[in-house]
Amino acid sequence: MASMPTQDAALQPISNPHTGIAISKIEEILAANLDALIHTQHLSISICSRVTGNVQQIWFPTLRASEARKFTAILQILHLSREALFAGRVITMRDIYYQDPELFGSQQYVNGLVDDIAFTFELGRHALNIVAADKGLIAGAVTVNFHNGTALHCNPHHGQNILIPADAHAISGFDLGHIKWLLVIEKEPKATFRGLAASRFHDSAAAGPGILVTAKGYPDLSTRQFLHKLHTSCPLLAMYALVDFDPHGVRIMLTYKDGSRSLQHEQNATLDPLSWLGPRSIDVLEARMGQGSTARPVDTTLPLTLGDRKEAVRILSLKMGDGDEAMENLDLIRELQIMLLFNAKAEIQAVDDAGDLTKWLDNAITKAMEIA
Amino acid sequence: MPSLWQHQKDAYIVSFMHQSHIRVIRQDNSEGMMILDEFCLFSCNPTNAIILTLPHQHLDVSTLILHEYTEGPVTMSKQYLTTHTVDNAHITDIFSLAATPTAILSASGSSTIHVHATNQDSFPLIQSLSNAHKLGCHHLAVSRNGKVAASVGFAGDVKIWKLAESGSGEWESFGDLDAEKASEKGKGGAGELWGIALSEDGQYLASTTYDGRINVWDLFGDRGVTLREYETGSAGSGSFGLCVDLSRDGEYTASGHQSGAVYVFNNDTGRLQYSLPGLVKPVRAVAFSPAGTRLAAAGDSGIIAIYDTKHGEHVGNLTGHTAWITSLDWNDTGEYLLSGSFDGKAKVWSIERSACVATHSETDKALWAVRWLPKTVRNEMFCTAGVNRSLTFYREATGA
Repeated sequence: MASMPTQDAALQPISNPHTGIAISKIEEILAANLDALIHTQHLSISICSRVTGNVQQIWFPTLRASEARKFTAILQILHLSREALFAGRVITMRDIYYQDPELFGSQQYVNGLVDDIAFTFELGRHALNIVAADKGLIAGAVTVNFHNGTALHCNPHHGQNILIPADAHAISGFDLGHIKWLLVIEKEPKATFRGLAASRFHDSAAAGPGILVTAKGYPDLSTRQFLHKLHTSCPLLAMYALVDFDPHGVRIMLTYKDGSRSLQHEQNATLDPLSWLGPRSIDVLEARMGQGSTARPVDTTLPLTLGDRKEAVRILSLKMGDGDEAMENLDLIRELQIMLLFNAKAEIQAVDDAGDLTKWLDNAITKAMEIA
Repeated sequence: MPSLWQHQKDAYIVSFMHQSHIRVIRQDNSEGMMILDEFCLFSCNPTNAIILTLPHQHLDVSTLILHEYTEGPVTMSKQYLTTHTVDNAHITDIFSLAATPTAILSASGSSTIHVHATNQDSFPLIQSLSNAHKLGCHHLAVSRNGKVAASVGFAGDVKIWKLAESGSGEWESFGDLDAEKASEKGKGGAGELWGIALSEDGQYLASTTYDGRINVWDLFGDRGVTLREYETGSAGSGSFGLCVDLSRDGEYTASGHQSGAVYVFNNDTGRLQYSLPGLVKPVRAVAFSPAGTRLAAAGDSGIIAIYDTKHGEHVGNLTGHTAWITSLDWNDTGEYLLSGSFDGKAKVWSIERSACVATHSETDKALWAVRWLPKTVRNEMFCTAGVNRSLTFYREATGA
């Protein structure tokens, strides 16, 4: 097997407490199949589906091409994972895909299988020494320290992008300095994360220095585990979410906060203290109504689509599952109900001032920190 | 152009609230400020007509208005007093109200519908319909005779209620309306139900959908089919029907839409009667006058449009709200119209004078619902509710 592309030096060596279990689970499967080969029997691997929870037997050889491909792909992933575990190295799902693009066909196919394997083993993806490709960006005067003695300074210069470290387990701690807040931003484009980072909002905010983070849409596991680690290490750091006022924005915020439904088996990927900074219904509706200081000449809201309405009702059902839970989520529930009532959604830009979000953010963060 | 003019005796203050809006306030040493009246420059009231002829920069309305007040200030306005407030009637926003001769039903973002007695001074909670709508309830309607009610939840679920025949005054379930199942001609259901209205006896229910359809159902007959189905656009692509009303005689259905359109349908012929010149912006409330001769419509334009239902003509506008209008209701005689808005103001309008005769703002938070209580005592009453989660009751001041 060709050697893996090397990761950022900061990620090595890794300390994975589940290495032993992961290796033994993988070797169990390999041994069973070796045994079957010796006795010229059919080979098979049992995999649990994350969607249904059902156990599926993948056979080889088989008449179905898709099953044969799946068997080969799983075996390949197990093999790569085992190598990485032995070498104490982390590989990305992207690395796996590029080992044999013809076999895997797509990145999504690899991602799905990796998560199914982790789910079957009742382990996190990380326990297999596999992480998603780097996705999250960070900007702020924070230093991330790693177990191997290296450090990552997250204050970008000259518009450079600083990637969120892919392996949260390699982090030993954080130096926050005077940082008091962290803002998770739904989107990266220039009006949002990139614009704020370029104007150094993380240094110049009225509420004092902070950290900006984005995972460009739905957050990946690495970003969520990084934020979880940051929160457990620095529990006093206030965490806010800046997302579109629409059901997808809410869903993205909830993915940061509560984790992802398809990755329920992953540990340490939630962010309970995350609170919704906005824009909220009041910001959006007042802007549309053209009253007060937020008056603007054009309507910045759009009507909800049927899909938006269904998604909003789905989130409501999820959050109003039982009475006690509903009490905790009253604020979120109310925002969704108002969204449905007014049949209106708006992007983050609805509250900017000719493309400049900082005025609104300064006000919102300062207010939120006063309440807390 | 907010500015103040102070009378030399410090007795009156005239404030220019808005370009089209003048407020006359009397300063009272013991009770502080009291709003005497609010005028709309563009209404057809004689006093205002004079003001309208003056260029804005030369608005010397002080003497004019004060003169009017010395002549007889009370003739212009009506006085309502807050008689009672039920604080925190719900745990979240109250989205809808429906009044019977003896009680007021309220629905909110939580799953419970509350019933408060309006024939007792303390407005006690007499019944809670728990778990009525799991995802919260946004619309309530009650029949004029006070015997049938209907409610719609955020999941599109519709429940029907009836007053117990035992005379206990309790509401009990009267089944539901499965809009998804009731597909007519294989059109795949009525879609997500939103606004509702009930006929005088509670037999007929009119509803709107997300995709702009208006349906009329017979609640006493087969609820699996719609009696009438009106399209307001090409099939399934009409503008969101935000509100609906049935005339008391059941002859007409009116609907207001997100596009600003207002339609009147004839339930006898099953046809569109009028497509009224709308308000351009979303229409959040439509209401037929008790006699059915007028239709009022209002919403995000902040204007209340009055239409003649006989000829389908736009006969006037009531202007004065400076925020979105969320709710409308006619009083029993059809002389007054009550409106509630996003900035927490409730206004009473004289239809005859085409002017606002009272403005109340207990809260600066949005009112989602305003309702007159059917007149059972000498003094007329109304109730307002919204973001502040309380039910506020007003009574017309006596001796005016």
